[in-house]
Amino acid sequence: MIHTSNDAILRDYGTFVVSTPANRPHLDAAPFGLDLRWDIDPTRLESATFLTLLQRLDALTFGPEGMPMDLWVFYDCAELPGFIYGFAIDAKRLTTHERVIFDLPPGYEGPVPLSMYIAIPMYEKGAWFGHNLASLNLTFPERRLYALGTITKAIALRAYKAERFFGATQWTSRALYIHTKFGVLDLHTTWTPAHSIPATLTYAFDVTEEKLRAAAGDPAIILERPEPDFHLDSEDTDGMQALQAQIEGGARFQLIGPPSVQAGRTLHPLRRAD
Amino acid sequence: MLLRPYQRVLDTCEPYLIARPPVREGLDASPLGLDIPAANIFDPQRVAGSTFIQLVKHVDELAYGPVGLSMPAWVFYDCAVMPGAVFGFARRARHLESWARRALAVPDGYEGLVPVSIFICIPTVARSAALVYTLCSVNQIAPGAAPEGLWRLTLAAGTQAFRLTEMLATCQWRSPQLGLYAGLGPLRLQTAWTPAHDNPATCTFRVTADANGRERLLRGDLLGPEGIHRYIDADDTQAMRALQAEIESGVEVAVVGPAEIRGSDTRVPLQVGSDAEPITTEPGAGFTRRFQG
Repeated sequence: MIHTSNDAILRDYGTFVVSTPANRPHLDAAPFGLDLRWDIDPTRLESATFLTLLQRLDALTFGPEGMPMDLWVFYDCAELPGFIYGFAIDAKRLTTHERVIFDLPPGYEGPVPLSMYIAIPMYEKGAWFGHNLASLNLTFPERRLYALGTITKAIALRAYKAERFFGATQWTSRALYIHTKFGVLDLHTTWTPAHSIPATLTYAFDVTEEKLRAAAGDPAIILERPEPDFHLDSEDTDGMQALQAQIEGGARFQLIGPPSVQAGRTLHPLRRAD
Repeated sequence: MLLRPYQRVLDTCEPYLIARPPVREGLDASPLGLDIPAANIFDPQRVAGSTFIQLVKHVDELAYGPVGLSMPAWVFYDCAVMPGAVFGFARRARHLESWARRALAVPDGYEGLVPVSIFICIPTVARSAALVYTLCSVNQIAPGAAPEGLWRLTLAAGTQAFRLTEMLATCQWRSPQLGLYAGLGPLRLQTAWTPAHDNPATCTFRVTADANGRERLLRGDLLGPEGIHRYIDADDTQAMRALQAEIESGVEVAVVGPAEIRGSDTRVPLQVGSDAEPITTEPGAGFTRRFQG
């Protein structure tokens, strides 16, 4: 079993996975001993409502300013190649207000997702790329879903049997507070023109049980973090490009922890790794 | 011999690859014997080549935007070049006519490669099949910007570049791409009606994409009428739902050729498998050989 910073989530809600029949045998269906409650096959008609609710979860998480993921992206870039894992609740346990927010179809009594983590397998065996973490922690504050996103990601990575994890995010993204909970991150890019936003970093880390437990909030585990050599301002695009040039020249850098805010500037702690 | 009918493509287009080094190492750098020049291989994690990558995204948008399936810009990085790779053919900007340069939004003064086809492939968890979710040719959007046959050659070379034996893909029933895929062999349907997709009139299929399949595809083999058990109307959503119900009940159904079109009717040939008669399009089961560009 796993101890988290919010064990009530594990006690009060069930977990689901979306996977094709071909992929399903490759999932750890009881990560950290947490049994799977709902198994969703995206190739069957009966799954249609739940899959639409995942799109709604995505929209609710990222708000009107976010780019809601099209259904085809869910299908082609998540459900067919990889897994979607998260926490859900029986529709009958939702309040009227929550049913309205979700725009639930009348009479629907199946699971309703509260969080999801999407990752897809990479060419290198055991490597996964995470591309969506959504949770209703802020949407449903009365449910006290504190840390739901991080807990979902930690348990999902165990379910996916990830050995090496990759992600990409913007230097200005608050998501970096979550990603750095998994320990020191190896930087593969610091300036990424191939992404829609060049001020994007690509990071990776080796997945260990200790890191997953630490990220989930187990108070017994504290990850070691080296001291930074320098800081990068989240708006310093020249600095990002200079670091990228060094990476392309063979240098290695690590992001060693969450950003800090000093005099209105968001600073990221970095160190050379070579 | 197999590539002789594609000589115009080979004379005017060059293969390219966008792949991270660990991916590149596992790919075939000479698919169908066509060497991918080192200068045409781009690392998406390096700044160099970013103009070419933007042009690839633009061709994708031109091909899929009009059917409501635009690829969000971040998806290209997160769901294409990070997990898998992009293969295709390109032309030198100076060899494109001015109208084609405008159509493809080639920047003024740019003299490098301009992509004219795209094949995106990523792994699946099961590893028994890889997922191809983009296959397009510039001829879909600017006919004449590249020779005929480019689409077919891109599919054949792409499957070999990725060393595929089994491919998973989706396609809309009315799309001519369905017939192109069927050139590889029977498309064994996983779904016939797909509410999980923006366009439910989408099918999901697996197809064997081995050397035999590639040869069939390049020759343009077509199955004779004796290999066709029935048809589905590509505009009949009720028929798609009924077929989906059959698939969910365990019936094996495959698309075995391109759609046949008469007037405004489009029908797609199907074969229904059983233990006694598994799905096949091997020569001897009614193959005729007829080149189709």
